[in-house]
Amino acid sequence: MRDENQLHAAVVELVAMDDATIKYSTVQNWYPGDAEGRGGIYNFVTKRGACRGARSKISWTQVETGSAITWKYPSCILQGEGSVGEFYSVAVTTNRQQADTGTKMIHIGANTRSTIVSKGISAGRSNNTYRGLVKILPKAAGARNHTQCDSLLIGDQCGAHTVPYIESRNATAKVEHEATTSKIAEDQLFYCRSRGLSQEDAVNMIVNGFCKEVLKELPMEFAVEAQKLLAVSLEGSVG
Amino acid sequence: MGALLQIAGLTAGIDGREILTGIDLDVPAGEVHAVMGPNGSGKSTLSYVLAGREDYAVTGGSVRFGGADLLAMAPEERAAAGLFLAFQYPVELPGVGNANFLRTALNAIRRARGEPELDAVNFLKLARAETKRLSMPDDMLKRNVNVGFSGGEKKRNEVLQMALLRPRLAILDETDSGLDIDALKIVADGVNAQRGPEFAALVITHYQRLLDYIVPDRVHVLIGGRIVRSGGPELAHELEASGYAGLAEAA
Repeated sequence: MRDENQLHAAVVELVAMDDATIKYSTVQNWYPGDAEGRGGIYNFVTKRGACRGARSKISWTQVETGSAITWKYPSCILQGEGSVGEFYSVAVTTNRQQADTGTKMIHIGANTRSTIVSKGISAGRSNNTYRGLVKILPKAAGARNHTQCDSLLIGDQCGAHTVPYIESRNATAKVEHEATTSKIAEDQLFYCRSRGLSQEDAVNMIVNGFCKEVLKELPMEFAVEAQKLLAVSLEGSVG
Repeated sequence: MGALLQIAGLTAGIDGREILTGIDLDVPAGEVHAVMGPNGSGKSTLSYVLAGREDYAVTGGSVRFGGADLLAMAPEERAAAGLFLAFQYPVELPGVGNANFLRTALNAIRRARGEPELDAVNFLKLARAETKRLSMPDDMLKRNVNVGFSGGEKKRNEVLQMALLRPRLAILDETDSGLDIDALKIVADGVNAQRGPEFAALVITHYQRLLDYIVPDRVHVLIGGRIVRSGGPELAHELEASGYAGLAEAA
């Protein structure tokens, strides 16, 4: 039974009217398949949000650790004047997992703002992709976006990919994209271990530090769960 | 029982290149020993090998620490056994709060020693007392480990860790490098405050300057990967006056 793949295809739609704020947080831990990539969930999810009202706000926060394949792009249609979209994401892949996730920020109204923070952690022979669209339409005068994509590699057989799509059709808009890729450095691990931390505790500490900007967006109980989940997901991925 | 740290015929290197060519050195409990030497003599290699850095390969000899085979232990086991390395270049850990790091390290070591763990409140009390003693601003506990710290702050943070972890042997790897005189005094005070029958230190330095403030019981000169001369504190002054050149010829 477990050699087969199951499909999870959920649809979430959010609508925020004048001055409304919606915060939607997910921690996802579906069965990822075995070490060789047999079995596991295909997690193909539609999530979209409409900021229809003035000054409305939609904030997506996600922690993705499970599933054999994840395709997921929670989006915000920023229609109301001064509306705000946020996307905070941690995606962890190990063994043969594939995660292709990101967001769409579609700026329609004037003075709309969006923030994207994506943290991808790849281990084993997995592939982790950030794919995101920032689209500024002609009437979105003064629109602003800041995107930050950081990738952390554990081991030398995994992949991290960053695929940003940026379309701006208004000359007054400001769009920024920052991306970094780093490897857990031997000297960081050694520093922690020389202070008495086990190899696994050291990895957890470094990974949690790497994800902190996103984890602090989660409700408290979720954040604690998410930290534990990261630790379990990465067990045995170093050394 | 013999000395706390006993190094005999230690040879080690990196990438197939031999750097330590036969170190013999004993550090008894309660003593502070200085290891001095020119650049490239193997000072940092010695500290990394003692702390267990895996990219260095030990090719011969033995190291006993408190009677146990140090070289057979993982770095975290060495820390639990009471060995501490103050890094020449402390490593930055982005997103990891200093207080959280220190408490995790302290509790890992307390667990390994069979002592009860400290809760957040008691830990902060202890840590604040130590930061005050080291003239460190309180916010150093809140900042991320070594991220955006000045050179002097990084070194003081190392001494803070040492003060909290209470090692039996502290290895200070060129802790004086990059320090101005005020920071140097604070660091030296931090080390001197630990001195006692239960504390030993190996102070690794290029210059005599630090040894004006941390007066060693013994001084060893490391050249070409081995100890070529040992003596009392006066040997450091002699080196300051005449340099390493004469000793290099003797080696």
